[in-house]
Amino acid sequence: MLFEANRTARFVRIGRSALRYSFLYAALGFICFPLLWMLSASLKSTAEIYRYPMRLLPAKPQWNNYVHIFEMAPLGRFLLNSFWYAGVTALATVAASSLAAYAFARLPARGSQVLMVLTLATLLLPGHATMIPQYLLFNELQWINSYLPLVIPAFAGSAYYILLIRQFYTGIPRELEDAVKIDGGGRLQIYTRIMLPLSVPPLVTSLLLEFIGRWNDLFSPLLYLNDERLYPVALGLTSFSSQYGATPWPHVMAASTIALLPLLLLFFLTQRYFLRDNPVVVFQKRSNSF
Amino acid sequence: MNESRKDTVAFWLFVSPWVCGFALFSGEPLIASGLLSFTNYSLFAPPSFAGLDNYSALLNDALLAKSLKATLAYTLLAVPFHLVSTLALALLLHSAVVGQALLRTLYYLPSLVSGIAVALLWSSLMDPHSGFIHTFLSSVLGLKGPLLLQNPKSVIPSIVVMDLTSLGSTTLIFLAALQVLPAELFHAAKIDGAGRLKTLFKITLPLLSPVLLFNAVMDVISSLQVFTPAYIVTKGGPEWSSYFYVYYLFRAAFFQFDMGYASAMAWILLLLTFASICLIVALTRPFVYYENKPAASNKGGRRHVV
Repeated sequence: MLFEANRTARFVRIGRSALRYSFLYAALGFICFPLLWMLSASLKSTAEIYRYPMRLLPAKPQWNNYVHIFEMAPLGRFLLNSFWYAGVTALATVAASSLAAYAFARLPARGSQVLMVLTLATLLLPGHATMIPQYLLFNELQWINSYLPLVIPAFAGSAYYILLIRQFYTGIPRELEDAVKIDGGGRLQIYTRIMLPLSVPPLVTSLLLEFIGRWNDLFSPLLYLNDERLYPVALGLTSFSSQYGATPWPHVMAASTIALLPLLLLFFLTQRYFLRDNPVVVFQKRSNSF
Repeated sequence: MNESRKDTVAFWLFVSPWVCGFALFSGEPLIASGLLSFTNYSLFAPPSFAGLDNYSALLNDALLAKSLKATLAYTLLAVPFHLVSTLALALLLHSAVVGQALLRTLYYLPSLVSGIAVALLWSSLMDPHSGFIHTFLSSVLGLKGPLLLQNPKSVIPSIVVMDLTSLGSTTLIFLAALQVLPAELFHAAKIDGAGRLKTLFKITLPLLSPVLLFNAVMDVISSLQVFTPAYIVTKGGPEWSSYFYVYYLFRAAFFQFDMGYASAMAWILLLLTFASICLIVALTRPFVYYENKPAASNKGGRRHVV
């Protein structure tokens, strides 16, 4: 009897776990299918894309597609633009945010509570509400068709990273600051010698998230850059799809794959800071929302 | 100078990039767009005072009504789809022990693809002549005719489906939140003989509710600003059925150069966003767990939504 009951329980457990894993892998299929399709389509010939019935894999991989895309548009230039634009803005945003985060975490001052609430409130502002006067401001400064309107505001930092980094700073024991204080160091030394070196995980996470966000951003570059040679790679993808009459899908997909590669590389390099059981990720900014 | 004085000075020095930058690049433009919304301004001539003209024109704008309808339809469909599917995936993933790390990474990877590439990719998959999905629907299910992106009835759900690739990042947020929930409560529930469903609804979801609320709010804010699919794929069509609000705003400002009208639209978006947030917070108030908890398990919600 007991043996029977154990066996039923075991069957139920196995069945449950089979069900769970089949759901998880079915979801994985849905989530990853577009990505795999992108890879496959990037290696097809244009004729094959339109062939019926279609195949999942290219009959003969057209590696040449990856050469042609660099001739169809200044893709190398786009990538270079993206690298320095995303790099500089990510550094600027995280630097400014970590300064403010230190102030909120450690420096008691009148008005800091109110400012914190205001900072939180800025998370709720729809960015597109300020688009027009911002454009007019930069137009007045004659910054249109340059990277200035995209880069300079990054030096303000962002509420997301202020919160994320502040959370981490708050958890650093105050006793660690004593060594610096005994040496006669001030608040700036505490920040550079204690806070920064101990906060690599949230800083790297913020840098990565902001880099990804900037790399993939469409709206601001679209607004401020007119000259195609200035395009970052995400915006540059549109010049593949609209340049000719019919969209050359294999080339669009190949260029999209190339645009993704640096992010993949960066992601795998920083993964240990980023994708662990790290509560830091709770704050993650949705970099990819439309 | 005494210590507390030094703290104050240092505080303002450290926050000055944030405060000045925000005031200059977001605060000032916000106020300016409020003022501009009461003017007639076309970029080529200085703004002239127009009173409430822009706002009364908004009331009679049939296209605005269509774009509001498209945006609200998208938001009402996309936000629940997004939250429910990511929460379900996170719960499943949380109890899956084998291969969890690998699945986590694989779920996340597609969300690195840029919104533009995602939109292009899906428009290729949904292409009525060569697209995989069209071919599949017509050959397997026998469905014919202008489906998906070419049909005013199916264009919004099709755009919601495009969000599949980015589900991974929110799933990981929920997973991270699940992993820091206090284990002793689950032990206690088990000892008391609570079943799986009861544990889910009485313990897991209430504890997770601040994070859920935070994500719902952020989701609504970004969904109301949906732009890329309209710009890249549908151009607002067919028949203005995907003429999203920000797409209209963008066109009013930079194609028709009607800056005054577009500023009024921007303020309506701002008010709409705040109204939606208030509505969500009010509606969910009975279900969200607001009690003080140790910092480790209280990452997201309540402090953010004042």
